[in-house]
Parts: sequence; structure tokens; C-alpha cells
Amino acid sequence: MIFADYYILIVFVAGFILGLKNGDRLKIPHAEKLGSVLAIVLLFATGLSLGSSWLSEAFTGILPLSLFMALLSIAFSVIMAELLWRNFS
Amino acid sequence: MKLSIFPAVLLCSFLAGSILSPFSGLGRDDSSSFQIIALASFIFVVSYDVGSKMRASSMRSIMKQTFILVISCIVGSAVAGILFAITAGLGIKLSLGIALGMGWYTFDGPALASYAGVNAGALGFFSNFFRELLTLIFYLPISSFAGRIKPIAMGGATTMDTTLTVMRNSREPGITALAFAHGALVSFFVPLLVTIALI
Repeated sequence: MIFADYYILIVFVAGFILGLKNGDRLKIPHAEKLGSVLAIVLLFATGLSLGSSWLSEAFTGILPLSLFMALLSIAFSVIMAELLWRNFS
Repeated sequence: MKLSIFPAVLLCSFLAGSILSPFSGLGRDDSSSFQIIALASFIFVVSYDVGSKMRASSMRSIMKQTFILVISCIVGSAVAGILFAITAGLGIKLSLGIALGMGWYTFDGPALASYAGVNAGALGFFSNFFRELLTLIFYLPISSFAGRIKPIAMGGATTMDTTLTVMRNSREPGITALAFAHGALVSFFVPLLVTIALI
């Protein structure tokens, strides 16, 4: 099942290379809007797949942890940018 | 400050799917197949679009700045993931998988759900969703004392689309190009890094 595990990566790299090679003469019509619609469909499908069981636990466990992770990520990204900028820019 | 309602639409779509799942009549395999097809379609369209825009845009002048910001974003997120694993008591692989989503919640949520289960998917989705929302809220206040370029790293992959709206408010074309290039490059690395983190 190695191929199945890597399908996201394979699709991404294939799409990127195709876009790089053919992007000038063959554009996906309304790619930005299509991407938005597909994002909505994808999240609906994700919701369907996840089911509703997580909702009962969301406000006790998932949301505070998610907020904590988001704050950590933002803080350390800016701190790293500050450090690298001083030394390498 | 111009704020997009698109993140709210996405959240509503996700919640609608969750709430409607018991009434959909779809089995677990059916809904997983639907999710995989939707994810593959979305990834293909986005990656093709990124590829075509990377070719069209001339990024040589901002390459070094972009490189510093991308490295900052990746290393900062990885450090946050390690700290999160220690403080929240989650596995290091899962924490890195969440953190290295770098704001791309439409990818990270489904990817983590298919790799590590329901709760991991929800945590990945909301962590990266909050990262986007917090960037929309805090980019301008932080840029008032840290400068306009460095806080671009906080947005991760979202700086090429949603959070570009607040970064574009700086009215400096160079910063807009930098934010877009940063988001495009981070978007390229997210699937690779998340997959490596979870293996």
C-alpha cells in the first residue's frame, strides 16, 4: 500500500510539473474559483468522513489544543524569521 | 481591513458534512472514497495552478528573502510541533504532522484523518484553520513593530491566497510578490513534509 500512502504527494508533484511545463499555453479555466469550489467539496467530504462524533468532544479537547498549536506555530515562525533575518539578510 | 469570508464558508461546509454524516446513508468506505477523490482533485488543481504561476512570475529579485522566510516558517513550525508534543503529550510524529501543515487546513485535516484517524484529522484541521484566522487578525498589528516582511512567515501556505488580502494592504508590490512566492513555496513543501513526518 505504499503507492496509496504517497498518492497525495504524487498527485501534487504531477500537477506541479504539468503546470510548470504547460501553464503558459494550457491554463485551467477559472482555476482560482475551481480551487475554491473543490476546497468546499473537500471539506464537506472530510466532515462526512469524520462523522459527528468529534463534535461532542470539540469544545472540551480539540479546540483549545488547536488554538495552542496555532499560537505556537505563529510565534516560532516569526521568532525564526527575526533570527534568520538578522543573520542572513 | 478587508477580511475574506471564505474561511468561514469552508468551516460551515466542514461542519455541515459532520452534522449531515449520520443522515447521509453513506458507509465509512463510501465517504472515505469521496474524500480521497475530492482531495486528489483539489490537490491537482492547486498544484497545477501553483506550477503555472511560478513559471509566470519572475522571482529572482526576491529569491533570497523568500528563502529566509520559507526556512523560518518550516523551522519555526517544526519547533512548535516538538514543543506541542512535549506540552500536550501527543506523539512527536502526529504533532509534527499537524504543525507542518503550516496553515493548509484543507490538506492537513484530510491527510491526517486518513493517516492517523478522526481526532488527528480534526486537530490538524482546526490548528491550521486557527493559524490562518490568527494571521488575518494579527499580521497588521505585528507588522507595526516587527516590519512588514518578517511576519509573512506566520501565514505559512496561506500567504498565496487568503492572507494575501491583509498583506496586500501594505501597498508595497514587492511585499505582495514576496508573500505570494512564500505561500507557493511553502505549499509545495507541505505535502512532502507532512508525509515525511507521518512515515
